[in-house]
Amino acid sequence: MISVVFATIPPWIVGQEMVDQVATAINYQYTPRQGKQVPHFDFILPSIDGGKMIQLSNYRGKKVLLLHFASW
Amino acid sequence: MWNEKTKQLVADGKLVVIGVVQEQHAERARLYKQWKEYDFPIAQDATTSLGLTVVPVPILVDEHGYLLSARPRVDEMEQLVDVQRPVPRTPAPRLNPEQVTSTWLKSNVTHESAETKCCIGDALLREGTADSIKESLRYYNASMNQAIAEENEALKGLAAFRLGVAYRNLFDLVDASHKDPGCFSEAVKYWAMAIELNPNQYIWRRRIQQYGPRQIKPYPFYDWVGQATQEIMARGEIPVKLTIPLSGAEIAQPNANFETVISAEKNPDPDGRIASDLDRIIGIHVTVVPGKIVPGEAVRVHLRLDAENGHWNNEAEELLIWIDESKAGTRSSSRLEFSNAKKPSSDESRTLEFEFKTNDDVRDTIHLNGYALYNVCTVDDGQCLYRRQDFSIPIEIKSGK
Repeated sequence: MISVVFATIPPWIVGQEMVDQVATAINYQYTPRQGKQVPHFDFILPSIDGGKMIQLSNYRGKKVLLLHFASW
Repeated sequence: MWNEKTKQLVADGKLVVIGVVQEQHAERARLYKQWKEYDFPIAQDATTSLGLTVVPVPILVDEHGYLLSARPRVDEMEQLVDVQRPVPRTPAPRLNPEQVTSTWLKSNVTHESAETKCCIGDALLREGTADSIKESLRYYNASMNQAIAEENEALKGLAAFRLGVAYRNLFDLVDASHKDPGCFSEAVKYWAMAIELNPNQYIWRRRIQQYGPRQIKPYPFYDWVGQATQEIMARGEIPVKLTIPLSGAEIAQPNANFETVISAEKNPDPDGRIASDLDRIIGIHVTVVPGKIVPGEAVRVHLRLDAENGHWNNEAEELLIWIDESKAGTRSSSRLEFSNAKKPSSDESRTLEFEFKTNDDVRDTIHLNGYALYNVCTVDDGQCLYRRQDFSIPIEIKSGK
């Protein structure tokens, strides 16, 4: 479980572990079920506008729609 | 579509939208954002660090940081944002921004796995200076070597793709003192390696197609740029300026049939009578995409000419490239020209592209020959010269089809 991993290795790696889970979920249609543990995750990535970073967890308290897309 | 459909939910305070763009060049994403009038923040994931293999993908995260829905449909968004999720017993961990910097990571990492090396490489790459990008290469290489030793193909692929991104970033550096034209070929080599290791990673596959021949393109990658620029200007705005120019490959239309346009003009210097550029006033750098093909396939050749020890003389004939006929296949063009800049002399890099389709019976490495004719002026004494430089382009052939 994620919390066990979190206790043994640095938190930024937990981030990777979590995104691996989420990536698996989103690449193969995922629907969370009642009572099942669902992935949680955080990321810090540079803004395309330069200078600042965008951190997902800064938006906790609201639902966040992440739109993954490409400009090509 | 999502932007329009979610506007009201955002206005009502029920939803935040964040874009994550899979794009190597942030300025292109900025132009796209300006064109589409997106009003939400957009993060850049140049190395596919979030693990996506395809786009577009929407993901809905709840107010506690837990995944609520992957690939929700537009028509269910209203219902989903109203879902009340219980407060989790374990709060979702948050990353510490300090702990994703290369300085912190290099000082604190004790668990030297292939993954950690990749993470340190990512942090260095994000810093974006010539030195940090070069250092990221060392970490990615170390990560790949460890993944090879551990026979971890997935991690090897991750490191290989990142090496490609880092090498291309070095190639694109605006500061000429750090420019290394050979980096593009390295990028192509590592991207090809990555996709060999994970053929289902479509985002990685697109990187080769972006610069590759028209035959392997699913669509023109950046043909929208011209339309976007016009529409933005028509709105009275100044479009985001692209400092890294689009290559011909990046705006070329897909074409399953290989087309050739052989010039009616004859070889301008068949006997090599124009004096050779022995001092290498101009450096010619070649990148072949893909780096290796099977017999019968095509490549796109990117020729970059840099004024390394002189200047382009723009008051004389234009730069001309001649590609010799080859028994190994067919050229898309025999003659390429580059228009002079609108000032007496200049120092810009000049890029020209053509494609070459190999015959079905080619083997090993074939060589495509050609030469460049150009007018240059020397740095030392300002002497203006007309010079020729021959080149031979190796095209590597995989064995078997």
